Amino acid sequence: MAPVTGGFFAIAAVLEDARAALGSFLIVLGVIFAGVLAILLAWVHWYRFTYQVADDGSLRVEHGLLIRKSTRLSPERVQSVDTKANLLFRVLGLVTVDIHTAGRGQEPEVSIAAMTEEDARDLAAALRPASRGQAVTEAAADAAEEPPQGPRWRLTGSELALVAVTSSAGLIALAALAPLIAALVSMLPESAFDVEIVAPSGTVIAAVAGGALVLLVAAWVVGSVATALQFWDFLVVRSGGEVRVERGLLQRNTRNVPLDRVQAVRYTEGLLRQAIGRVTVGVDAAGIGAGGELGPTVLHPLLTAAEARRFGEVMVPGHSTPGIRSVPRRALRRYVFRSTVLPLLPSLVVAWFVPYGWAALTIPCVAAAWGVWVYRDAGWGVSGEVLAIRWRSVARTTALVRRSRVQSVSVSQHPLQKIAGLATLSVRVAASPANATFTVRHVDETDALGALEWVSGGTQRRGEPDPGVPIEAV
Amino acid sequence: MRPDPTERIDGRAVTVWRLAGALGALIVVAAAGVAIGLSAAGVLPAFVAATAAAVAIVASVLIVGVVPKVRWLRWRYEVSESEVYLRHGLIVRKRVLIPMTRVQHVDTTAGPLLRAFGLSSVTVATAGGEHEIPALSDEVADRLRDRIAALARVTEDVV
Repeated sequence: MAPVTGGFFAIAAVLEDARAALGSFLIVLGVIFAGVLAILLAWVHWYRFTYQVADDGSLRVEHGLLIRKSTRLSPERVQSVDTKANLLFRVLGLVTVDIHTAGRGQEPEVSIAAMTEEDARDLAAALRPASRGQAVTEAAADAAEEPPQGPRWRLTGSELALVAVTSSAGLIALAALAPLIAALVSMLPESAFDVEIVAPSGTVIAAVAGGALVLLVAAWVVGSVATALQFWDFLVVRSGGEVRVERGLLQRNTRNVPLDRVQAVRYTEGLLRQAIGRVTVGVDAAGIGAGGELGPTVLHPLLTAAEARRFGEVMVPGHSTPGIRSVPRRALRRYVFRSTVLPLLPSLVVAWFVPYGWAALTIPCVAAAWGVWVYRDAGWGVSGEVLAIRWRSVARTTALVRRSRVQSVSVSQHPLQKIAGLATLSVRVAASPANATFTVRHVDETDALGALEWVSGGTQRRGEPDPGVPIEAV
Repeated sequence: MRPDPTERIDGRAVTVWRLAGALGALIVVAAAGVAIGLSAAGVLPAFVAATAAAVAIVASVLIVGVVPKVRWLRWRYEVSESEVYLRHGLIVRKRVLIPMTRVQHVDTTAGPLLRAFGLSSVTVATAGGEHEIPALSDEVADRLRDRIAALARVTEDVV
């Protein structure tokens, strides 16, 4: 019996080997097949993707194998043409061109990958509508022909370093990650918390504070590096009726903002940048703001107040800052109330019931001081065609809107405001990705109604086209 | 100072809002009923049932009796050649001014409840968002929609 059993096992072993060999062979075959398929699909995508600027100036894009998709885009509908290039594309000298229209929100209407830089330039020039800024058609045509010679700002190495270290990107990311961190902490075994806290011992406090500090510094470093990569070799140029912004090391982005699409100009002072007396200049533009970037397009990240004024005059003419009146003194208690009311109750509860909880009472005190600060920064003003609204959320922002760009204006009052003769003033503009609303709380009631009159006054010249911003050739 | 808008919305709005409020009140009353039932069964203490009943009564009176009327009283609108001007708001009182040149399109809409009363709402859309004038009679709403559309068409839009 023994040899027979031995032979059986030998056969089984051989079979087993064969099966294993077959298995690995199939895996290798599968991988090769998937690879070939991916290459084939990529090739088909490339082969089927064609674009063409037709004789009437419209762009025609066709792609897809099974579902063939054909897009036609007239230059009048084009809001902006962005280009971007990742590291691989940059090595190969290629770019991706994103063409944005008004209706599509974040996503570009047409995205053409892997164009040569020259082709991308030609396409952008072809899509620049002839109707855009008649006053500058020649300047624009010149600008399309040769590298624009208009006024320009660059970031020097030390400025870039300042932009990076004063960025709040890391801290914002940390705040966004806070729930995740909390979830991780709650996954720790129970025993980790198995410490009887009668009075917080020095070591526990030191450990918690040290951990928080490490986390903060790490977030700040990561945010700074990310910001430095984003603003690497930053260049902003005004050519004709457009402002072009180029930036980025790993991914190089170019964005053209036509001046006649600008809905609002923002001067933003983050806490760190305000501390060193620097301002970030941005614009809200209709149909522009895509590419994963929330809010306004940054035209310059770091200018002193005086530089920012000059920069604004050159880059976004017609948006000179009016004198800003602060909110009245009687608004102070509303601001302090607003910032203090939420943290007050929980910290009172903590102070009452938790040992050493009285320390929590510092929170409403800090909140009250913050309220005073927010009060001091709030204000608004009007001069000629421009309205300015200044407020602080964390950063202090001054938004400038031309009267012809106001989509709607509202004045609201809750009962406490009514008693004090105060009101909240909001101005809405059209901008992507979200509609922007600029709000200043607790302004004088009569003043706020004056803002309604100001907007109303601009609509008297009905029948005339928007006076717009005189765009002189540069 | 700018005078208030002149036009009121349709009086039947009060009835519509009362009916809609009654639906909400029904939910509140049902919840209170559950609380009373539970305390009768001895699960909840009596004061919970008493509080629930009081809250249900006050809330029902408010959302059926008071709110619709006050809301109607507060609603005013006016459409001139150059702008749409709204004033409304129960607790937070709001005035909104929309320049006619910014109006992109105007719609009339009516849900089943509004339709049953021959009412429609007019929605004025700008590139910066939408504004609604609720509960106008169908004829008034249609006329208003056409009028705003005609006035808005006069100037070419910039955005």
